[in-house]
Amino acid sequence: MVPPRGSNSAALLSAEHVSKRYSNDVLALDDFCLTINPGEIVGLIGPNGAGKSTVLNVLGGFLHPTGGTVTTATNRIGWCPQQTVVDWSLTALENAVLVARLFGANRRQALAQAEQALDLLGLHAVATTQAEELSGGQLQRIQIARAICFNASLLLLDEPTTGLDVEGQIALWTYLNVRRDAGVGILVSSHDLDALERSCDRFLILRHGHIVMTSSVAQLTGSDDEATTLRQAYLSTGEEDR
Amino acid sequence: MRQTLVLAEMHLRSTWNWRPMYLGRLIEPVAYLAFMIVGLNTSVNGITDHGQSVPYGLFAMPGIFALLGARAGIGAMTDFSNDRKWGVFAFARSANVSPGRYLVSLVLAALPMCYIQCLLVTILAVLVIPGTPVLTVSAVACLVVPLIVAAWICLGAALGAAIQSYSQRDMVASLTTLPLILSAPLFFSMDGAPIYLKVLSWINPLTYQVDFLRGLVLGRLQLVDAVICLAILVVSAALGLILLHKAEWLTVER
Repeated sequence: MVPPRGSNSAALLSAEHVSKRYSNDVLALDDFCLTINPGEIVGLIGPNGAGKSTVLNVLGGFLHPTGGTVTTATNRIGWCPQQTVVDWSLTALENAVLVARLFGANRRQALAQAEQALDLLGLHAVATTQAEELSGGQLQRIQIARAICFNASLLLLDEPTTGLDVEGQIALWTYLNVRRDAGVGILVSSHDLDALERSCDRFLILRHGHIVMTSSVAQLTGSDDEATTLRQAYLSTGEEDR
Repeated sequence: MRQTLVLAEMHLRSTWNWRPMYLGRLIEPVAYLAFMIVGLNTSVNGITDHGQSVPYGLFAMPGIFALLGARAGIGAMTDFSNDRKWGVFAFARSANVSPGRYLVSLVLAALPMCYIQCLLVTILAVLVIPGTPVLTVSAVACLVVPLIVAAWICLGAALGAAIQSYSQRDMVASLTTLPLILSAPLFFSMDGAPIYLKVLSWINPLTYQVDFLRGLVLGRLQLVDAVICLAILVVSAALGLILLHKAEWLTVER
């Protein structure tokens, strides 16, 4: 019998009762719990302002949680934030090479890995262009390239397909499925529910900083409830807001 | 150490890519020496330093070296706040780069610019300031100025740890640069200064650093000056380490 994806190894990331309150007193996240196992893609869904970006930034260690604990079994975390967080003074290639080298690749390996990532994302032609001269979509792709240009064990991707054309989206999801099959744990937030439903093993629906639903694809499609698609499940959790 | 060098190289690449912006910073000390100090040297016969009359040019030239430190500090504040906004610090910390190694990378990246500036200042001083002790000035430039620059980089990065946005960064840089430089006896003596200026100079680390540099150049080295400068370096490094350790890896500015 084949074990279910992501359930056969020690967790890559475990978040217990995590909260985050910003300095402007906004409570962006409250009592958030999540485990990410090797070889699974977890989809994070929620309306704008629900706290998805905060989740990804806190889980990656990039922002300090106000409460609770985040434990990671690896520091090889590929991170693609939603906001533009690239070094404007470096070229697209230099941005990716820097991250690959920080995570252990030597100069030659880093260059090869960075070029491969940029090629995958269609950035070959602008590899030596400074970030400040690139468009918003190209900057977004640099961020994805930085996340995937080294052998990350855990990927935290915040709306990575925003700004990508259809070919780019297909290439990215294909890549993520390959990485999942290689044992990488992936947490990805997106508004593209169809793509999430096709590729994710589990889903979290977040509203107002709270998890309002967690479900696997099997639970969703095997449910006796009316909500049998991710879209229906998502919309059902927002009925109180409307 | 490898990651430290990778980060230092990245900062140097960044400087090179934006070299038109850094050109002004590179020539600033040369301009101070070539125009301000040389100009004043022709109209001020001598200035009293520790009860001794010395030529103005020799008095003010060490001020240029101290100025390099203050400028490096402001630069480090800018670099660190940029690195937190641009994700460089986040990726570095995520890859297990400690705050200490990050600080060392900032210092290493600043050294080439520091040495080029010191070289230009030394050559120019020999040419335009009569009586410049070439060997002493060269030794000071090579061995002491980098330590002062390192202290200011630690202080600048510590300040950068509290900065959350570009506007804050620009405001702090605007409000601190001139008061910092002009409230220390870099280019004039504080002996006859009003009390508020004296008080500011007492709390300004540049005062003690320029006094040490001036003592070396004028041949009146005092051990107490060296100890104070070393203490400033240690306290700055400790402050930098603590605040960088506490700093969030990323600013939330959009």
